[in-house]
Amino acid sequence: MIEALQRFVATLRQAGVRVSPAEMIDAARAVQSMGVERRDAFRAALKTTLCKTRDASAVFDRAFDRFFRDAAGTPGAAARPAGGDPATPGGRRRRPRPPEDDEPGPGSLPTTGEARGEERGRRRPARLRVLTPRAPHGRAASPAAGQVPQPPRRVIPPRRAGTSSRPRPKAPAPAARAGIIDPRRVDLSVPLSTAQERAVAKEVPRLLREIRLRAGRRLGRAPSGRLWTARVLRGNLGTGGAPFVLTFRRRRPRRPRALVLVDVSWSVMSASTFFLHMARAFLDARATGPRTSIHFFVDRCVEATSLVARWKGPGEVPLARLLEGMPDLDPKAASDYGRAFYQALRSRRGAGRAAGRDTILVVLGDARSNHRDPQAWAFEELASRCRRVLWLNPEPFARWNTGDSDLSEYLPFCDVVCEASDLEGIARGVSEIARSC
Amino acid sequence: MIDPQAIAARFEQSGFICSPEVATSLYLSDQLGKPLLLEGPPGVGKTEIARLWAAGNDADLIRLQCYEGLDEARAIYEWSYGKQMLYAQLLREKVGDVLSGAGDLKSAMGALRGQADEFFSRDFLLARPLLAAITSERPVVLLVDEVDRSDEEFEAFLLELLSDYQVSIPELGTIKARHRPRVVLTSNDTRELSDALRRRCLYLYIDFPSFDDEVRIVRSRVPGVSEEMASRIVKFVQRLRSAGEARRSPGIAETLDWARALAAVGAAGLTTESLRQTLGALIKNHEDLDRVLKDRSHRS
Repeated sequence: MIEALQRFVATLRQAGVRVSPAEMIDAARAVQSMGVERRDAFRAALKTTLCKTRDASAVFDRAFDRFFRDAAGTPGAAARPAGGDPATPGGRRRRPRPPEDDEPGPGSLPTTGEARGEERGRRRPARLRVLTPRAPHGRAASPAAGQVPQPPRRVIPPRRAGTSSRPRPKAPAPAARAGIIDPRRVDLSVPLSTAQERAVAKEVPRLLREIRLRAGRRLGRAPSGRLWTARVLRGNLGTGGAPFVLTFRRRRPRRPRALVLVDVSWSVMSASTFFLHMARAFLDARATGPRTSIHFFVDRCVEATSLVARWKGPGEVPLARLLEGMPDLDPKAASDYGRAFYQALRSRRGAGRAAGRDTILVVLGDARSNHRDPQAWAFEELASRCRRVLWLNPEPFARWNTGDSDLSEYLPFCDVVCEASDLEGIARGVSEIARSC
Repeated sequence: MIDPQAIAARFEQSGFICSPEVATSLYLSDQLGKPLLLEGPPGVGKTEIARLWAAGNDADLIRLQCYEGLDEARAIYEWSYGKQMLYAQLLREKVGDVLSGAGDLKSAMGALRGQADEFFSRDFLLARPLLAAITSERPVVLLVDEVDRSDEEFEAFLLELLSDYQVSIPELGTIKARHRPRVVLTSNDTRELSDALRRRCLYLYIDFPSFDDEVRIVRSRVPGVSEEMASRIVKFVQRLRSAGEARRSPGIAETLDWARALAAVGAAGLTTESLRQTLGALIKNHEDLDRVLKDRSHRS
């Protein structure tokens, strides 16, 4: 029996379920306690001891059915693995027969990642169309529609005068004339030259240095921390224990997390290089560092932290090539912010999992949703879980909220929204966030 | 020790439809002496399982509701500062009597050392739910509810308790459980729990029940509802859940509330009027409510 259990655990491990030796011992004890006569009890005993997540449970269900399939409905033989139990006394030891063509082999068990894919499929917001009453132009007739949305706490327009949609004509600075690129003045809304990209890549991390996490509201009201009783008593021995001098135990401020959502659709492809640098900078920043979660989205949201971590920087493959490694994401699809935010919020492994009270949510995108339902409530819920929300829009300020832009729907839930046409504007936005964190 | 079938039967007596997986997990939690982590969407009966488990074992239920910022002072123990201060005053008055016979400093120190150090003793300890659970004279079921709401640091406090059923208090040492408490942790899966916590627990994911099971639940908990009406109610609720549009999927408790509300207004079917009157018991968000009612009026 133990040998069969070992082989089953090995099968689970191959499928991506992490089973520790302690859990295997628990499973053996559970089987000993439950017996192997009843298949459902045997299955439940193994499942509750070997699986610690929902994804692992999904893998377990399929693995169990195939591994112990011969025993279905056979009293007293529930634990007999497929192909005979090598541990059976007197039984001939043999390897499990190889899977036939029409049945999935052990290698085709759903991995935990595939299980997540199934989850994504189940919760596709496309199904929303069934119940959503739509306005004639196809947008959901939510109660908020038609109301003037509240502005965010801070909208940072470009510093230049006027709000023309045309790129501003830049007078060549003395430094530029001398062949030196001022990264803060590079126009980020157009594809960058390699030299400009290098300059920007060097400058972006500096923007994030200011980000610190200050004390939350609860700690803010009591900035000195909790009463340190032992110190108080020791310090007031001279006054007979009467607490004339109070000592407080300070709580170490925590480092913030960053949740970066990056629009990688074609409409913002010209700003993609900058987006990539920005995402990478969060990953490399001392403040956020490994506590950064990066997600790319078009009409769905896919985690890209490891992909961005592997990206070396200027001169490396462009974003389009990078996206080839993400089969779940189609950059040519029409962007759908509502669906992406909904998925980020509701998907079990979605971006919403990384949101918390110490998280700074950064959205890089133009909020153009092709007249789809913006589902602002989903963004509101995501934003409400985070400490601060910063939205960087690569479009010129004058083009915000025009055409299919849904930015006005999302503005009320942002703390700072700024035009990401140059680093100067972004620096002001980041400073604003850093000050209020 | 009762077996899984007996556990399921006891739960059903209380009107809770207990799946074999739930019964087996509870049984194994008892047998292996491990906490049980129940994960699932809100409203599927995770807390109810702990409550019924306590009732079925004639044990006290000690509940710790988790929230952001929960710390060991609120969850494990705290010193009663007020009592300690009073004790210090008392010492000041009595210390003269204790030291009256001491001629020099050395003998005074000896006289003081002879007195028990009561300052950090159990008399001044305020037991919070976790400490109360392990020091209880009676068997208890400890429910750590919505553990995903707490901070990651708090999870670390739980580890010692969950693996060894003991709590370390620096001033007193380690306090071990008199009776090993049955521990149930619940999580709504809003954030990833640490591997360390998961590995100390048996795990069970509880999803919304199937159509037949939910009809059975409605029929057993709301006797005034006919079989046909129960089927309609459950069909409506399950369609609402599967549409995935609602901000919050209604749980079983809300289904039962709605069934009771429909029975109270004497609704014979799910008409627009009866929905308008009772849907507040099922849907707790005005946007969702408007959307469902509009959809209903469009269909009719």
